[in-house]
Amino acid sequence: MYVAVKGGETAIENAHRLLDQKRRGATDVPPLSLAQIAQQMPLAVARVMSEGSLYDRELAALAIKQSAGDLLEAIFLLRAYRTTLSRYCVSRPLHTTSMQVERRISATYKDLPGGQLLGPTFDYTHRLLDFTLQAEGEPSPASQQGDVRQAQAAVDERAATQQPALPDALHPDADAQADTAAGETGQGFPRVLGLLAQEGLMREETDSAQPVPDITREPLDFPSNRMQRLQALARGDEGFLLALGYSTQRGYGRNHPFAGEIRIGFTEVWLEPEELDFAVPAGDIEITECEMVNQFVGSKDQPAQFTRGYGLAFGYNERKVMGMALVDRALRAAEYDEEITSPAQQEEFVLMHCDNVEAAGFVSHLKLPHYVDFQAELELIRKMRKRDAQAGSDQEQRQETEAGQVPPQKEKRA
Amino acid sequence: MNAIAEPYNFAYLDEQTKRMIRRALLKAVAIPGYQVPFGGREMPLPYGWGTGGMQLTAAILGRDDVLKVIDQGADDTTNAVSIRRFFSRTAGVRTTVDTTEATVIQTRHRIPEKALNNDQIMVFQVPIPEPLRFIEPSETETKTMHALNDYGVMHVKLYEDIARYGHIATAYAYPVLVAGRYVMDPSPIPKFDNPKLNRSAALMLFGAGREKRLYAIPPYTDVASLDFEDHPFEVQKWEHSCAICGSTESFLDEIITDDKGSRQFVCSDTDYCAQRVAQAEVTQ
Amino acid sequence: MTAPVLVPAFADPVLNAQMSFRAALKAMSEPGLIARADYAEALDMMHPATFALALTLFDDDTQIWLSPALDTPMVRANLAFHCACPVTDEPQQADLAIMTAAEVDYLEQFRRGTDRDPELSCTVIVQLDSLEGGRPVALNGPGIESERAVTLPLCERFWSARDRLNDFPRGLDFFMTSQRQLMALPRSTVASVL
Repeated sequence: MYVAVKGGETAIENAHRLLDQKRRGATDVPPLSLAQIAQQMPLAVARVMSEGSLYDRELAALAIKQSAGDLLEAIFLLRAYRTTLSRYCVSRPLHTTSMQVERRISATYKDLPGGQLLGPTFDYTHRLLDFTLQAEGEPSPASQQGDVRQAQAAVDERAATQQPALPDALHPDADAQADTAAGETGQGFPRVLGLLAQEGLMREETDSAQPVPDITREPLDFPSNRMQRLQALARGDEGFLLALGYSTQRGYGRNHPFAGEIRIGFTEVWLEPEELDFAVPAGDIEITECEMVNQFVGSKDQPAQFTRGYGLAFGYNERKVMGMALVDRALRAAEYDEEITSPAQQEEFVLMHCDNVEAAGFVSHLKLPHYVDFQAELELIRKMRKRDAQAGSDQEQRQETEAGQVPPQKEKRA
Repeated sequence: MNAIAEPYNFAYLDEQTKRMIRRALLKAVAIPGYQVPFGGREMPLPYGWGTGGMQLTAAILGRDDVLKVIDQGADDTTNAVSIRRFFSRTAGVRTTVDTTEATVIQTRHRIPEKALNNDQIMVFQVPIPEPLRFIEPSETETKTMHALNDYGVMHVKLYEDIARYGHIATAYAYPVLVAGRYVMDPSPIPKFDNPKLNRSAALMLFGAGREKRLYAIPPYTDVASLDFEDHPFEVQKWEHSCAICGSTESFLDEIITDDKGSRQFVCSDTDYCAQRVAQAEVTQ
Repeated sequence: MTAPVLVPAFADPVLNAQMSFRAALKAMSEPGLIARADYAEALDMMHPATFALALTLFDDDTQIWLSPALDTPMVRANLAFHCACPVTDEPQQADLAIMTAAEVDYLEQFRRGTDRDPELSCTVIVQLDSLEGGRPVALNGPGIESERAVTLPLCERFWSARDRLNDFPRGLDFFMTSQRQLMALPRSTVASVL
């Protein structure tokens, strides 16, 4: 007699034990520390913080360790943790203009105030595996300590002469000073798109003064507004946005992008709690920001101006913000009366599929038992085949009867 | 009752999230079959694995509830075990496999064979809440169809099935009309289970976590599976009976028993099957 | 001038909110059924069941409207303290509203939702002296096995206003509260005055 399969609970417990072993690997190899991950894998940490939508390097490092290096799994861990956190304040918008710049480049000008500051970048490395890293010794001579200190000093010197003084945090006019510093374009690293706007060549973005929605608390509705879209894109999968951005460059919704400015560095976060009349700094975070200069719009009545796409991410995260900016601009097609012809321009397609926690969950859910529904399909397909086979043999019989080769028989019921 | 092991709020969700879901549930119940958007959260299980059902269960569950969790009709499938353990840890509620003992039943893809009573609440896990989704991918369009009570595309699709296959080719997630107004996806339950929705004594709640929609059918509500007069709705039938308890009334799972393809059929509802066996032993 | 007195809310905020919600859910899914909601005490003019519903459903995401009969400094102070809910002067802005039976004229100012987004309608809490003793009204529809008669002490003007404003799926959803009891009337219910 058939005995029902049992033991799901035990199977799960054993699976968890096996996973612990897999995650740890060979025990004669030293275990990873969170500090090692946070310090030596800063770009993985940046991705997990951005798409996990939570700025906390140590927690991101923990998530990466716990997920055995699967960054999407780590992002999921951080998101699930974020769900449990209470929300007690909304920060003021980040003043990225007064960023402590570590890297800042522009493809639209050869030189500009602040200059092209390469910072630490993979851009001009030759993609040759560096086997000195494999030997676990110090890296190759090109980045010896002495050179590093010289390079950094050069960066610091330039930055020191050109950075605006940051306002005194506890001064009651801290707000006003912060605003002024942001408005200044003559010192430090003025915004490239601001320079274009000064000439009237760049469409200005105006503050709609609408309350900022939170897509983690109220689900997206269509048509969406730009605030919702930018939130979704900031949390969105880097690979998906990269592919969509790439598709626009290849003609699927082309919008003529130029990298107006990319900047990476630390920016202060200011809070204005209800109990105080002024804003206070809560600390600073490393962010990456990209503004693309895109296809100009205009008409006989309205002078032509460039448009823009915007990308923002936590940590050192350049590819993500570039992809995000390309898709942001593509999704503004309706705003600029552009024909919507390609996937990157279709807001429902992009926004409903850009979240890799949702995507991974639903794709992987196919692993769950589906045998009841499959049974229903089996029953249906067998019934249909039986009926078609029956109809087929009835048809044959009728033909043979008509041909007079077989004596007439009672018709079988289907 | 188990002690709550972790420093989380009762049933994991914070009170603000629970309130948001509770308000949405009250609206859902007032508009039977209509998909109410809600601000669904990331849960510790992945989207697609029951987060919608879990959020609803977390919002309604109380200290004195008795929780049953099933997947494919069985209490022992791995994900049902996982979800039951989750609530056992975070809410400390008593859990059960006995359908008659349960006050809240969270389910994936089946309704128990035993008729439910008026003190019970069913919570369904829903992957795709929109019954028109595979006919019309755009949410903007389907919202309009529901608003205008215009389900023409659905009737066309069903009619096309009949033209091509001779009958409606939908075996599960079979669309229903609720209280004569909204067309609803009952979640991927086999159509065999659809009649159980009609005028059930229990409250039926449906949660889609990834899609962020919830909906409800109050007790004693008319729920009709879509069909045509000349092609009336039919449920599945088997030629076999359950190899364990002998039932000819329940939904049967097919088990392959050797590599020549020999097969047996057993009840999908494991509690129903076990109760029948227990009863048969008593009467012997 | 003395500051308004703050009254205690739920003794166990998590547990009592859940139990009050289950009563509300039972009531809304089975219209006309009387459910117990006695986990809070009275708040000024608000009966215990009314206050329990407020504690369960109001928070900083819900705009609340209070009718003149219930809009007192003490009620406002306690709602602000316990619920942190914004109180609006405009009935049409309200997500939830509290009123008494006599204030029927306000009904037409509440949002009734749209055909596309019917859930955006107001939920109206009507506080009564009792849930019984009025003219019998027969209720039919989802949640009711055959027919249920209620004797809510509501004037005919209420029922005709409700009928006029109801255009399923648009419509108002009601909770009727009195002392430690509540009842609900969703827009899906058809009411005929007997």
